[in-house]
Amino acid sequence: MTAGEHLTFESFDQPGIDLATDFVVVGSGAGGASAAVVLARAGHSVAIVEAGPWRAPQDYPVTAYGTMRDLFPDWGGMVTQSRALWPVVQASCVGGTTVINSAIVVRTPGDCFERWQREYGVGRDLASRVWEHQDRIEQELSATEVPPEARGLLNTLAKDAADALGWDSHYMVRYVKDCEGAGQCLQGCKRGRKQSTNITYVPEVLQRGGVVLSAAPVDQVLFQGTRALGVTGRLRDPVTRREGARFSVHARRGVLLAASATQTPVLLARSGVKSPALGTRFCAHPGTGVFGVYDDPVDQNIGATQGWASMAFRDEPGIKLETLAIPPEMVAGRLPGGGRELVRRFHEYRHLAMWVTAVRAESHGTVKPGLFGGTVVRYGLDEADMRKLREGLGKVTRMHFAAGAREVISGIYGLPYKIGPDEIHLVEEGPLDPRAYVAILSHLFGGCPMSADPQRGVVDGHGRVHGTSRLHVVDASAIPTTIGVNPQHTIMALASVWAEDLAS
Amino acid sequence: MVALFPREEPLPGVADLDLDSKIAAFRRESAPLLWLGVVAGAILFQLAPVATLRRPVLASWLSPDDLDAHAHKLAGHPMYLVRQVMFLLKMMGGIFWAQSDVLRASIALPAYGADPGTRRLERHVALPTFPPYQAAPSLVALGRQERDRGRRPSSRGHA
Repeated sequence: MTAGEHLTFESFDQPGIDLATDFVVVGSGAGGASAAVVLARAGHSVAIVEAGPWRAPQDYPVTAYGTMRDLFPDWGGMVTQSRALWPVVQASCVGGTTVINSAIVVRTPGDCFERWQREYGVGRDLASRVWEHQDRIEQELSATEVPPEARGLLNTLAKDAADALGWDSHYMVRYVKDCEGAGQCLQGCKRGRKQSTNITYVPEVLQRGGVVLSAAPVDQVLFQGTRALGVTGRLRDPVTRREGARFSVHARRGVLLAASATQTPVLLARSGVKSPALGTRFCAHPGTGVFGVYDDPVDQNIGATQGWASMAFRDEPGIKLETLAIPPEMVAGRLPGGGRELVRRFHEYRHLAMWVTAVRAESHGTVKPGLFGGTVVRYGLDEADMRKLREGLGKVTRMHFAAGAREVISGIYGLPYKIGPDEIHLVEEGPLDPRAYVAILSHLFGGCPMSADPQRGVVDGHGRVHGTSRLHVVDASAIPTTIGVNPQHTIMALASVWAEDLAS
Repeated sequence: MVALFPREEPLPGVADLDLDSKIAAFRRESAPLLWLGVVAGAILFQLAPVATLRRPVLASWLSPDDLDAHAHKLAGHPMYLVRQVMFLLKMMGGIFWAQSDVLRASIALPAYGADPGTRRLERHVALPTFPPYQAAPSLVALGRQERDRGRRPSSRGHA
C-alpha cells in the first residue's frame, strides 16, 4: 500500500491539478470522511475534496477570534433569513464540523427509520445496517462516557439537578479518547483527545493511497448527460480567500457529495441538477440556553464542554436538554446590556453555568444559492416549535434552581435580567416571538431529502440522486426529518452504509 | 466597542487593549459582510443618542455617564434589528475584550497564547500522535467525589 498525497493551495503561481480516481468525495466531515474510509478500506482509490484548509491540533486557534477566522466559513456569518436572524454553526476545514463540535454519540432512534419508511418510502432494512456501523464506529473512535475526572461542575451540577427532579439523564458518550476536560471542544481539541475526522479517518484514507485536496471548494459537478464524471473548482488561499489554480477530479465509479446540509443542495443546484425537492425540507434542532448563577464558582470552562444530557423529553414535547460551556468572549457578548453594567455583570463569570435546550423542530425551510455566490437559508420556527423551545428553557431554568442556583439569567428579551426561584413561570410563559431569543442552529438536516418519490426527494433510499447516475449524497442533507438526538453518529453510519453499497 | 466594554476596576476596558491594531487586523482578515455589519453598528451607535437619551447629538459628544447609559439602552433596544446590530458589535467587542490576560486571570483561566494561524501544507501526512494524559488537579478531585458517590462511567457503549 502506498501512502497518498495531500494537495492544497500553495501559491497563486502553482499549476492546476488534474486527477483521476475511483471515487471522489466532496467534504471531509462526518459524512464525507466516513464514506471515504469505507471505500478506501475496500481497496478503491479515493480523493477527498474539502473547501476549507487542513488544520492539525497544533494549528488550532486558542481564541474565539482565531476560531472564527480559522475554522468557520466566512467567520460564521451565515444566519437564517426569517423573522429572527439565528446563526448557522458549521466549520470549514478538513474534518468539517467534527472539529468544533462536542463529538456526542447517540444512536439513531428506531422511530426515525419507521418515520422515513412511513412518510418517504425509504429506510427498509436501514436500521440494522446503520446500527451495525454504529457498533464499528464506536469502537474505532473510542466512544466513551465522559470520565469522572473530566466532568467539571457544569456537568455534575446538571446531573444533581436532574436526579433531584426525578428526570432521566446521563453523562454523555462522546468520540473522545482520554478526555482531560480542557474545555476547548468548540475551538478544536488541541490535546488531540477528540476523535474528529481530520485526525482519524482522513489520515487513514491517505495511508491507504487516497488523495486529499484541502482549501479546494468545488464549483460544480461535471456531467456527461446524466452521468456524473467528477468535480471541478479552484483552490483558494485561506488567508485572502482569493482563488488560485483550477483543479479537476475525475471519478471512474462515482461522485459522493458530503458538503453539508447548507452546501450540498447549493452545489447540486449550481451543477444544473433539476429536482422539485432540491433545497427543500431543510430542518434543524435550534438551541438556546440560560445561565444559572451559583454562590460558589462553577468555572464552566474547566471540564468537558458538553458532558451531560437528558433525553427524557425527546418524544414529548420534543426537546433535548444539555450542558454547554461557552468561552468567556462569547459570554461577554451574550449577557444583556452594555457599558459599565455589562462589565459588572461579567464579574460573575466564574459563578455561571449554561444549560441549553435543543428543539426537535418540525418546522422546515429552504436552502438556495444566493445572488452573489453564497447560500441563502430561509428557516424559522412555527408557534408549536416555539412552545417547545420555551418549555425547554423552562425546564433548564427549573433545573438550575434544583441544583442550588440563587438566580437565573434567561437572556430572553422583555424579561428581567435575573429571575428568582419563584419566577420560573416568566420563562415558561415567555414570548413566542423568536426575535426575543438568542438561539443558534447547529444540527442541520435536509435540503436533499431522501424519498422513493422523485417529486418529494432528491435522493433515493441509497443516497443516489434521482435522475442521474454515479452521483450520491452522503451527508445530513439527505436526512428528511429532524431526529431528536445529536446527529453526528447517524450521519457517519448512514454515509458508511451507502458507501458500503458502492464499495461492493 | 469602547463604550460597550469600558474600564471597570479591576478589569481593563477594551480601549486599554491595543484596540486599534485589533480592529486593523479584523478589517484585513474578516469576511466583508461581517466587517460591514460592525461598521454599520458603529455608525448606528454614533447616531442613536436621539433614540436612547432623546438628545440629537453624536455619541462621541456625550459625557462619560451619558455615553454609558446610551450603550446600555441601545444594547437592549426594543427594535430587533437595532438589537441585532448591537449584538454583533458587542460580540466582536467581547471577543477583543475577553482576550485580556488580566481579565482571564480574574476568572481563573490561563492567559491565551497566540493563535498559530497555520495549516497543513505537507504532502505526506502521518497518522498523528498526541501527548500523554494530563488532567487538571481540580477535575481529578471532582472525579474522586463522583466515584465516591457511585457515579462511575457506565459500561454501556452508547447512550
